[in-house]
Amino acid sequence: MTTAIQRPTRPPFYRDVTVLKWVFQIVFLIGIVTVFWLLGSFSIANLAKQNLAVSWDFMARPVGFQVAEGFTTLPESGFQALLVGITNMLRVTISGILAATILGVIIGVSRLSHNWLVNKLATVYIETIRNIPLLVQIVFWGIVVSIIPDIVVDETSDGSLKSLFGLRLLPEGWIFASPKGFAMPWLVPTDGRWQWVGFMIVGAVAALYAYRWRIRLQEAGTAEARAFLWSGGVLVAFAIVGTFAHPVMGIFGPVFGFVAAFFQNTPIIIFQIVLAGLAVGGAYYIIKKRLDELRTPAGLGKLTDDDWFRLAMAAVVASGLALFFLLQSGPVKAIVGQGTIFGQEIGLSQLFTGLESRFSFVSGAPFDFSLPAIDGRFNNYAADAGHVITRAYFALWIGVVLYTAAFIGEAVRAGVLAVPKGQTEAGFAVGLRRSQLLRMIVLPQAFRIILPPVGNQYLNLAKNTSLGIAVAYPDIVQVGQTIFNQTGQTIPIVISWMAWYSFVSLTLSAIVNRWNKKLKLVER
Amino acid sequence: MAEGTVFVETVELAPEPPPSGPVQWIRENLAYSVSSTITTIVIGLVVFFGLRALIAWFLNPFRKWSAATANARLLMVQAYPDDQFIRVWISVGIVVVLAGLSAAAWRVAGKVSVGQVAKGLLSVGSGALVLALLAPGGLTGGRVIFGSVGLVIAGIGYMWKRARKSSVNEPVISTVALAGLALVLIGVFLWTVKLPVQEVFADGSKEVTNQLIARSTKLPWTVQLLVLAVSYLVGVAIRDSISSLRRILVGLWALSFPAILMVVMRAPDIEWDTVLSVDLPIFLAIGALVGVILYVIGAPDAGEWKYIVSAIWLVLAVLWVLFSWYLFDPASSSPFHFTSSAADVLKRLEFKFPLILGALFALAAPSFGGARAARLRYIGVWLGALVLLIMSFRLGAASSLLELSGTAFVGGLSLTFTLAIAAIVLSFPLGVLLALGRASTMPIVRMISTTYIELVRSVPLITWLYIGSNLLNLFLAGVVDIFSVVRAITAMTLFSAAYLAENVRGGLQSIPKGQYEAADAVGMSVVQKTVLITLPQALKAVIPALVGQVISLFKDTSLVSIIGLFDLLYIARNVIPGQSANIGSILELTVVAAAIYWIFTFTFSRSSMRLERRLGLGTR
Amino acid sequence: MTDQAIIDCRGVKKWFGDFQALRGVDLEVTKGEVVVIIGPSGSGKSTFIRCINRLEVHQEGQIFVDGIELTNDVRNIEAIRKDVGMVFQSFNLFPHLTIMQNITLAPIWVKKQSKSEAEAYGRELLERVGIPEQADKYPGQLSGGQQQRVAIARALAMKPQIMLFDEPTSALDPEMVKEVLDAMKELAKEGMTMIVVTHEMGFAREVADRVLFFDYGQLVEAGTPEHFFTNPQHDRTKLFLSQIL
Ligand SMILES: Nc1ncnc2c1ncn2[C@@H]1O[C@H](COP(=O)(O)OP(=O)(O)O)[C@@H](O)[C@H]1O
Ligand SMILES: [Mg+2]
Repeated sequence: MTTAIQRPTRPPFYRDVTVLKWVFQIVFLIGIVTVFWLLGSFSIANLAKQNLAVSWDFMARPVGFQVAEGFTTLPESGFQALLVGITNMLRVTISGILAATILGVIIGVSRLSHNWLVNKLATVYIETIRNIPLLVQIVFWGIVVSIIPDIVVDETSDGSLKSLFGLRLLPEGWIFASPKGFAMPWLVPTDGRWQWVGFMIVGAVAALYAYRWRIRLQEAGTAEARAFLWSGGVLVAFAIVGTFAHPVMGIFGPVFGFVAAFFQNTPIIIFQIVLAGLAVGGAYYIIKKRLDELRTPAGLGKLTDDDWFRLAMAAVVASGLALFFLLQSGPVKAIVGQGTIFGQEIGLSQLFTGLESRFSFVSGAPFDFSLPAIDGRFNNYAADAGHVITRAYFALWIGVVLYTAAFIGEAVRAGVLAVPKGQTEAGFAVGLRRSQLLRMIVLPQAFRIILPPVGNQYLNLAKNTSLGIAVAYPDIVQVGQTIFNQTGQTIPIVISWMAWYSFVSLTLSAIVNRWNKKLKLVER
Repeated sequence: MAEGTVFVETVELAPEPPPSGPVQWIRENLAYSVSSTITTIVIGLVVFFGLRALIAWFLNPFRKWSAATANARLLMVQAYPDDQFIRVWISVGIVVVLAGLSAAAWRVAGKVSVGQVAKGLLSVGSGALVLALLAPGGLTGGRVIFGSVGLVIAGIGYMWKRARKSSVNEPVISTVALAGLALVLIGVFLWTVKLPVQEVFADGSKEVTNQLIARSTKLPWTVQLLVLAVSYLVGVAIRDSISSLRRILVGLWALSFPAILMVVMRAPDIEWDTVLSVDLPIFLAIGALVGVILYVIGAPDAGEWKYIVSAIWLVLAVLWVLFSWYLFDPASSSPFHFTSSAADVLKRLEFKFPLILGALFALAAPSFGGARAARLRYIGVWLGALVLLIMSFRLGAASSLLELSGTAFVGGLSLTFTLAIAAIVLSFPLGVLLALGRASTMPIVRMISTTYIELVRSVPLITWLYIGSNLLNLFLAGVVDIFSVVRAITAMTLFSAAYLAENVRGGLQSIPKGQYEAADAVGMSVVQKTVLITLPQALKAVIPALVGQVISLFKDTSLVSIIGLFDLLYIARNVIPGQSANIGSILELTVVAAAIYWIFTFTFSRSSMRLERRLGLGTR
Repeated sequence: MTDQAIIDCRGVKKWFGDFQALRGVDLEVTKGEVVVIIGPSGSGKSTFIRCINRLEVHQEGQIFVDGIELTNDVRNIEAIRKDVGMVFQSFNLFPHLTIMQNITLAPIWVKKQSKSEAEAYGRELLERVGIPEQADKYPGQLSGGQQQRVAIARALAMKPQIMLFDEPTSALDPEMVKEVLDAMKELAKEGMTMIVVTHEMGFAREVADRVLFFDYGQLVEAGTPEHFFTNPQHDRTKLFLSQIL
């Protein structure tokens, strides 16, 4: 019916909703930038008054302090000291997450138990642990360890630890305890371990295929799956065989060597172009995807100002990155290993050189079983003898594990209770036992509900490891704090902290989100 | 039955009570299967020996519990001057009065059944009995007394329940009466019950004496109990005649915290001539001027000029504050050399901030003005806000009259509370703004809010506290020498705002789209829509989450002990064990600190669960 | 534009991303007219009437309400919203406010009336829709039919010139439909300009001055109720009517 296309009349700009909206946003942005600019100039001025300028030099320079524990206790540079802090943080985080998950599930299931005693015990546990600040608990465990007397299991006469009903439990010299921590036997990794780990990676892939194969067989109706049993068996077989056969992995040595040489010898401009190309390509992909979503058979749909903003942002960020890569060869050099980061050569080339030397048909066992070698001051005098759990590590670890387990337990309980009652009744009706019901019907369904809060708890655990500073556990916060006490370089340290923790948070939430999506897919 | 026989019931069966009794209970809850019996026995043994060891540890004569009891005041308020200690009691009194009045105004009183009370008695009594039986060691007098008191209490509970068989679940007992009874009992205990206290003297000698629970504070505590009872009764008497009692109380609660902190505890040295010569003129001039402007701008007729004028006003006022602070400091020759103390800066800003506040009021005036009455009420709100603002500047700039032995006028548990309350109160508006920003349709605002929220949440609190204690001084050193407690509060506020924003965002997302559309359809402005429709619903929906956050913030305050503030944990862990008389008491004191934290968090979380149930949330 | 046309739409087009929901709608509504819109689900009926009070933003074409064009102009949007009342399928009452507060909220804050004035009129409106006794209850305590009548009262409280109804009875139990329709008939008799999306054919027959049939974002056929129910012209109209009658 209509003839000429008419557009709505444009109002005067000062009354146009869209214009006003953007004016407001720009003023807001200017305001924020101004505040940051002011704060920045204040701090530079104040630093200047103390004859300090913001500088990252300490990262390359030797530091004058010892770190209490870690892959090295005498870091060569500020950068290495921070790396020690990072690995220490990861050590507690990863082992803590494992232990807290196991304990948390036990607590959560106990909370649902019909057994009054078990149920009450779990409740008391949760209500106690949850309501006391974690820091207090860590401090508490630190004190507890510091007041235990020196115990060398076996030589004491009271026999409280070494035996039960006259039965000797542990051989002589296996476990030591003291105010400084605990020592115990350990599988100490030796030179062959890298090849063995390589072997195990192959094994893991094989196990995955075994799993899929069994599932396929079951779906085809030829055999019962027992998929976990099979894939576990494959893993164990690889682990055992790998103990002897791992030198085979030495064939990868030359491959790594080739890759290292490639990164070392290719002209840097090529990497610059590749990285810039990746940035531009990524932006192109994002913009194209977005436009495709808006595209119609009749042509492009109407773009809102929000759409325009997103597209522009993607373009601006990508071109900024591309320009950065093209103009600054330094960072690119550092990444591929032709240059240095903070005075360290830790690029891709060095990584592969290291791998090459570790995959060089080294023979011998990947691990040595060794007993702790403790002298009178409770120093483990041989670095590769046994394993020492220091007081600080223990206090932090047990603190975060017990604390997080309480929250995980609550999440598990809530998740299980959220599974409809009809599911339980149907399970009983087909004759499952309680434990079977829990394992086969309830937990798989509850898992979907449990995962997001538990993922959140993992994140909290990772962040809470920073409380180790109260018992002088040298994680990145403690090491960083020591560095800025020495150098006064607050701002770089703060930036390092933020970068590291943001990285951890983003990684962990990416993993949890991915998992979550996968579960959602299964659900459909 | 033979065919054709008709079965006729001739006896009418009376309803039987369900099987009950201890044996039945055990059969249902502890030994319903073989495996459950085994579990019960194993766990039971573990619990038995564990509890025994714990009791033995607690009662061990070598434990230095007296380090905590002798230093109770240090734990509560750190080193507050003795001659001014009445100020602490007045602060407690203010809270107690408000609590009593609020209990009356919100009608918390209810009725509970005999069954509930009896069950409580039964579990308290049997708990005490079990403890007495479990404790290792011989048959001492204390143990017999403890055990038999437990037995008697449990017995009363059991008998009472049996006696009231049929009506056991009818709510007949008033909770007011129960609370009153508890108050009386506490009062009597304060004056009569003595506990053995071991005191260790500097020379190493020890003495065990029997002392009252609160030996130096029994009188003030008794007064506080009485004040609580009286204020409740007063509340009951006036709640029907004063219709807006609840609203007044909310206002008083809001005011009580800054009043206690800034006035009662700090004893500010207010220069009254400055108040008369500076504050009053500023208040009158700005108050009247802006008042007139609001009256004009709030008039209900169209015109964009009001927004334009207010926006320009706001931008100019903000610029003036920022740049007068930064560049045009009369006291210095160069922009980077400041000599000002915090007090000076506050004085200089004193009449610039009211201009910003005025601009904000002007911007919102078209939304909240209207008919004459509405406009006048709005101007009243403006004047009230102005008074509060000027007063807080004056109080912040005033020095304290107290001669303190420590660095701060709050410490110990009161510092813990100060930090928690200040951070939650201050982070609330910021968190709500961030949530609105993240939910907004404006991409730049959304981006900035999201970045802030995610960055703050991904980095642990302790690093923010370090940043607060180091960077804040770097940013503002020389301009304002920010006091360490204020730095901690700033860091915790900025931190907690990000978490709060996520909670509030959850609430905002739970509001159906129809609500926005309905508000749009009747022509509400964005501000009106937010204040009148969205926020009330969103906040109500997230009350449980907010309470949860208050709890975790309360626990998180313990982190300030790492940066050297004298909070409860620091005093328990570093100060008291450092006294020569109390060396070696650190474990005991940490346990005491843990118990104090536990009592408060447990109470909070229990009350929030009750609140949740009352709001009808959490039910499916 | 004819002189009495209170709503004038010219070639209104609207896209949701790539999907075109309105493909050029032309319509004039005169003052006091009651227009009923029918059409299959997804045909753009809601989108169209939501464009009239700018809950949705049309991208091409022009809409004039009472002589004011609907544009991005803040001033016009404000003015139109005060002039056009809307009733939703799902009531959309504010759950945290009492019935009286629901009704007086906009008059007080948007129209800047005094509270007493707004409440007096609110009471009158509740009287008119037949639930004067519910003023102090909350929406959750009312039945669906009562809630929808409150929603009508809430819209009327702004003294609009035009009322839009988007399937006001489809979320109601059958026994409550009548009470809402009665309130609407009352309103039509008083001379209110109304656009009603509904499938209540009885209502259309009795009250409508004009019936419009929408399909695929187009106004396919328009006419008097008699025309529609006795002699529909377009094939799609015939098909649709045969399905619902
Ligand atoms: N907000 C929206 N986003 C995307 N598509 C929408 C939106 N609202 C409506 N639509 C689509 O526009 C078409 C018309 O919808 P609508 O006007 O609600 O139809 P009706 O009210 O006639 O049933 C439908 O196909 C619907 O899917
Ligand atoms: Mg519709």
